[in-house]
Amino acid sequence: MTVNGERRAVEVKDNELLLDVLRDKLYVKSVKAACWKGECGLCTVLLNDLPVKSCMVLAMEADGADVKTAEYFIKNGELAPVQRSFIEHGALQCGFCTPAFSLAAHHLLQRNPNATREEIKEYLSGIICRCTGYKQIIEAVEDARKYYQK
Amino acid sequence: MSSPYFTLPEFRYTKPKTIEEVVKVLDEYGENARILAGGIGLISFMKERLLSPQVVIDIKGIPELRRIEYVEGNGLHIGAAVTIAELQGFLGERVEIGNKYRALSEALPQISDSLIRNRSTLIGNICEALPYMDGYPPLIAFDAKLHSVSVKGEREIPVAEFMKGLAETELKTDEFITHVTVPEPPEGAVSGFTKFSSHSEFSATAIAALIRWSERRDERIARISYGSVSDTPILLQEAGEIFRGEGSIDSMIDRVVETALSEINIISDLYATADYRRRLIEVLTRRLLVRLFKEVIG
Repeated sequence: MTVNGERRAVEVKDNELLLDVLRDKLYVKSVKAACWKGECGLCTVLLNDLPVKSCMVLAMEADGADVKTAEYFIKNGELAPVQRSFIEHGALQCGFCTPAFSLAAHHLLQRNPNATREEIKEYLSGIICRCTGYKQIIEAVEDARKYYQK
Repeated sequence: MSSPYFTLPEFRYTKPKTIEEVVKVLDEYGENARILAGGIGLISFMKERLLSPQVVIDIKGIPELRRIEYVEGNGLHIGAAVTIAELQGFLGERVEIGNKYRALSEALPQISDSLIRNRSTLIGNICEALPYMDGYPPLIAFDAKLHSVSVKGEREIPVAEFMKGLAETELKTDEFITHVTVPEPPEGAVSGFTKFSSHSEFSATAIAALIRWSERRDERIARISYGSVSDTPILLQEAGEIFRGEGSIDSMIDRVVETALSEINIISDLYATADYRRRLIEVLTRRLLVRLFKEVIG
């Protein structure tokens, strides 16, 4: 598969989860493992440019696929607009959920740069933050809309 | 980690390119083979060791199972590998079709969350066969039919008759669902869906209704279906008769509520007590039917 723009070959067992292969075999550590049940959303990755929870995907299902994680959006040391917006708004405390939120938000704003506050809330409702509450996160995404409106 | 919940039991993964190949594997392995589409149900059940198949058959490589199509007069065709997000997109971009199947359009965004819907399928929701699956009430209201195939041939199963009990369905171990067809709603019919859930994404009560009102009593149609209230989803058989009978619309709605409360074997579980569900059934039934009647008679 292609991981963050690089072709990677890795041997996996039929019963391995994409989440575990990314973290333990390819050392992509921005993908967090927390509930393993598809509930917390912290293992979100872009699989063929669609945000999905990687604990609910077999590694075999991603054979030949394109996988992007938060690392992908750092270009020459520069963060993506939505990631910068998270910093500006203090939309994180421990940071554990930030890669997942920023990936899903990036996808939403690319598809719909005029997403309303309600649409943003709905789209991110499958990801859990246990520190901040969601106010700053939603505001960060709302504010980042301007970078995606062209 | 090797404990359950974090890992999967061992199995062989296979990704056939044709329906014939799937059917062959099912014929050989029977209940030791399981179908993988979105994986939300299967992977969860495997993590909990409720299922330990020898073979997992990924059907996402079969082009015909990815088809969504609407043909005027015939209705909707939804393949087994079509994700809920894709179906939402299809109905959302075609306003006329989305309105025709309003109960379905309203139910889809209320199933789980948007990231799961990027992966999960409507047919997977049906095949998981828990009482809380929100795909059932709208499909039952539209009298949708599941289409299955095995080495013995194809057959059609109404969604209303598919679920037999907790995670038990009409499906034999050598067959699988290829698609669901949702017939064209009757001319002039309106439909809707509403649900209530608390503390969980699983519904405590869900209801879908399709109503066709007419001055002529014999032309009236009412299909009202409940999910999450009993062991299996329910089609309220008496609703059509009630609306074809005498009386004001208000009194008909009263009788639908009374009938629902007396006919449904209402359950208590983690998500709500039976008593709470009785109240939810009353409130949600009235709310939905009043909304639909406002639409048809203003």
